[in-house]
Amino acid sequence: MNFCLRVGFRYFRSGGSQILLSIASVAFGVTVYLFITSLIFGLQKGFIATTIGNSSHLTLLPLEPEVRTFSVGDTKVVSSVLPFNEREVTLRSYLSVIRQLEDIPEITTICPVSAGSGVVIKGGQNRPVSILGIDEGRGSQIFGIGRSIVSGELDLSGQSCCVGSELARLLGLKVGDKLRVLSAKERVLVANITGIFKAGNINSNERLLYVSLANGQRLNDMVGAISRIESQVTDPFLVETTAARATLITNLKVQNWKEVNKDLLNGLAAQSQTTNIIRFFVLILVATSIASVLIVSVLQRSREIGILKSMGASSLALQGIFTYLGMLVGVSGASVGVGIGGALILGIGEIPGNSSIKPGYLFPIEIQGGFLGEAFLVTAGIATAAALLPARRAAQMNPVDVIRQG
Amino acid sequence: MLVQLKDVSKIYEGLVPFKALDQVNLAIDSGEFVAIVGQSGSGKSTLLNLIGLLDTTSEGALSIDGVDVNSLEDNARTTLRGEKIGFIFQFHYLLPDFTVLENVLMSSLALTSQTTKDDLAEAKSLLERMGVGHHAEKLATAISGGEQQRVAIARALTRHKPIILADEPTGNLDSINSDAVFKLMREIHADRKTTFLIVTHDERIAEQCDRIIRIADGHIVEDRAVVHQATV
Repeated sequence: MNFCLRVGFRYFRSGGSQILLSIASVAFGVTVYLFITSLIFGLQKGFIATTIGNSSHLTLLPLEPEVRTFSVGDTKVVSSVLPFNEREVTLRSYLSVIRQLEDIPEITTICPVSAGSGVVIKGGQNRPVSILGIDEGRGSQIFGIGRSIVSGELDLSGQSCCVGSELARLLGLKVGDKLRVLSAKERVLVANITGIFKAGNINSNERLLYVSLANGQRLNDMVGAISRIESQVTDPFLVETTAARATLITNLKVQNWKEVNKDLLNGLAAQSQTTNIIRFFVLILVATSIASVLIVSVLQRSREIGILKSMGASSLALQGIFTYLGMLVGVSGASVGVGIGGALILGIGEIPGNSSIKPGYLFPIEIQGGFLGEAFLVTAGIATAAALLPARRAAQMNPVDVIRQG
Repeated sequence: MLVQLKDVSKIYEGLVPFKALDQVNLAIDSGEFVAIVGQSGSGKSTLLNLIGLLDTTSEGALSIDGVDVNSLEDNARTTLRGEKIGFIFQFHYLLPDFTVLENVLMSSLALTSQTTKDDLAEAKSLLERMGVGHHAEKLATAISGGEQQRVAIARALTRHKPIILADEPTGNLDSINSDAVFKLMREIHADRKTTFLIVTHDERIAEQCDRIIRIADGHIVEDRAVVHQATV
């Protein structure tokens, strides 16, 4: 065995409580590192799933009127110009647009939506609602209505409708009740409530009313047309590429989820930065712990260092001994941390609770194999690097001084 | 000459610089058995440290086995030290986490980063010769002080180093162990023709050496051969 490794390993083995404590501090650091990483990952994954899992990634809208300004003499004239005609605020040729979108492989689900506003009336009470006429199957995939039904079932056939849980509570609605819907276009529908859903957003639970696409078109006075097309893509984080392609093909206004959720994305980025700062300080603590233990070890073993030097051990070899010692402490601590800390975090992740991000659990922890590897490598690496300072100190010791002091 | 000093001075810098050795000239031939004596602070340990390449000269020239050590880089000095010079200190300074045998082998390991079968055979043979062979597998801390010093001598003798520098080697031992250790060094000298430089303030030990160099205030004030009375 190499001289440095042999002596370093022996120092490690005979280090006693000093070495055990430093291993424990590294293991603790790894556990905190893993916990923070897993918690934030779970939290962000949950946020993203809630935000974009049950919503549209790409929305295709009719072109908005262009505002043009020009001068006539000294007078400035502002003109609103529609690209086609006023009727184009709805999408009348939506079936051909859907066919165009179906040619884009990244788009997985396409759903035409007829949206408008109105009120629902029940027993003398009324509440304002957004009336959404959707294709039941495809709409359910995009908006996740089927998954969020808490009473009844998703059925928009005939005169059926689904309402949010908050609206149901406010109006005392239940499955099987009849509900009068009066749209802003003064169209009326007496609908049967077939399902009550509970989405993550309380506003949606209070304001949304789902009906079939045909009923939506009729209520919103856009027979043969729709308001917009909602769609989902294979990789929501690469949505910009698909959006650009959809714009090119359809010549419509295309809005992606990232544009709509800029604040959320900024929040997630800030959260990631905060996580990195916490992890940085955890690693600093690990490094400080290793360095301080090794500095003490170097001082305690200064006579031995002097003797080894007198026997011909080079400065580099002495540096190697304490670097190996740091590496052994780091690797041991990281192994213990990944093993015991990992198991502990898995256990914490199973604690029952009422997290809004991960229903049924207290913490939205998502531990992945990659995190364990990353925590192991980063901590063991930091521990080894932290050993360089005391190792250098050992290498610079003057044998005469340390032997004389002995 | 195995060891040669020409006008060597050693000055310890500080608020008040201290000249521990002043213009010392000395030549030691191969196979000599020399005692360096003097009062505490006279400069004898400084002289030993300079010859042992543990410290550097402030002025003058020092050569070991024909090599001008002042011109060597730190690593080259370390290698030369490991190859040519063995140390015995007043305190044994064995490595407490290693066995007796490993302590003796450490010299080879430190120098070449490995030990050969020959190194192992030599280490065992030296331990047997020092009378501590039966302790080979024990931890260095598990044997008595006298035995530890014998192990330290065995360690210094490995790899057939031509120079052994001993700084008060018996200073920490009782008279029985002291005589036994000195006798061992004498036997090794007779067998191997190893050069011994022994720093001591014990005149009784010094008189048993072949040459006495006396130092006072950083100067060599006496350098004489010892005539031993033949025993009948």
